[in-house]
Amino acid sequence: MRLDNWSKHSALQRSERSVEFERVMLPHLDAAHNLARWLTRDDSQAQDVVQEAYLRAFSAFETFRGGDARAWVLTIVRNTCYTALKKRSPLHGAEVFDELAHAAPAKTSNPELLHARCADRDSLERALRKLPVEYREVLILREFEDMSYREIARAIDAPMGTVMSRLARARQRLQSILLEKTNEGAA
Amino acid sequence: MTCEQAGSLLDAYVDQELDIVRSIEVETHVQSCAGCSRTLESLQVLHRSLRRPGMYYPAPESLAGRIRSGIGSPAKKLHWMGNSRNWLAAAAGLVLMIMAGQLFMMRSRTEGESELARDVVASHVRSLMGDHLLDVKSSDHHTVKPWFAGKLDYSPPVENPAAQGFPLIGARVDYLNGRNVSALVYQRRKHLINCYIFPEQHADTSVTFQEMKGFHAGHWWRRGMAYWVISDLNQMELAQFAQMLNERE
Repeated sequence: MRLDNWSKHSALQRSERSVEFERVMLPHLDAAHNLARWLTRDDSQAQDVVQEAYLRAFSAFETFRGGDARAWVLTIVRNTCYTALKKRSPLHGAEVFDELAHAAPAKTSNPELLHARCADRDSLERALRKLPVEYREVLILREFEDMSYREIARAIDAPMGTVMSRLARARQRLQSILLEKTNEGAA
Repeated sequence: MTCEQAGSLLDAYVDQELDIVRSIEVETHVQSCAGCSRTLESLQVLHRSLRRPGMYYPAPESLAGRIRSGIGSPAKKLHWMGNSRNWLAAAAGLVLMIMAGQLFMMRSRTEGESELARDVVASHVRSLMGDHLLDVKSSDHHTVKPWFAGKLDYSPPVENPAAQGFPLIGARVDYLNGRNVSALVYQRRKHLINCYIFPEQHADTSVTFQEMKGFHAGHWWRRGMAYWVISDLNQMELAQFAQMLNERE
């Protein structure tokens, strides 16, 4: 890997690299942390993942050729999350995400009830966490990071068609979950 | 435009990914179709709700600082980076950490203890990387304990808490602190635990835990032996394991 280069580089070159890396990548720390927090179990795991992801990003910094730094670092974060979750990205690993198995059946919409159910922040969080991680991921990148379909496709290394269908199914499924009859005394 | 066609475009419409022509077609259809109108409204409810600020988790203050330390920023350098011998060893350790996909956090106390702690981590990682995890593969302590005779100048106490879910899977001779030591290998589900035991004069202690480079480690002294256990297993279960060993007999 970079071991030979490390020992040859002067301390000054190393520190220049750190400074440049910080300048370009640290502004996206909130986005990285938010993504990790939603993809992993808890805050402790999220922070561990973000630290590891940034370390990997730093050692691979030469491969960043300019352009969208946020998308570049978020890709590393999501891959690190999947490793931490012991899951592989659907296109690379043995486990393939069965898209149709998770698709919710078509239902008539109920925007009024949905609005009431979404009003409670904690129920919305719970519902989001019930989604399979592959669904949650595209929703987070779209709604929380405002990434375009093309950017999401690059980040998750999937075709745009997959992004679009996954997003649509994620939203259908989320609505299903939110509209479920609940005995928890919600609206 | 039919409902089926419109339905398949509603998400893209909400996400502003449709070209102007199709956007207008969708809008026209929705205006005259109650079903699709409600479907669209539901999507918009979700869209707005998810974007409420309370749903977003920004990074805590301390995280940026830890990342800076981890990448060796000039502002916050770890003290060992100044020493060139330690730098090479640590750089090798760092590469191995990245390959093993582990974290990079470091806390050390006394100079001697931190030197040994680093050796323990390096030894642990090496044992996981190659094919040299076990020289003797056995869960029977009657096999493992005598195996060390002739290889070490001491006989380590060998326990097998298999009944508690931490079976012994084997052992090897390793090298720590300038000497040959015993390394007993245990398993907990998919996690491997290395347990190093070597003679050292010291009063018996309870277990002290630390986290090093993403691994959890514990160490203590008992009956003239120093013990180090290290694993990627979580702290809680490693503590259970350590307490068990420290309380046997």
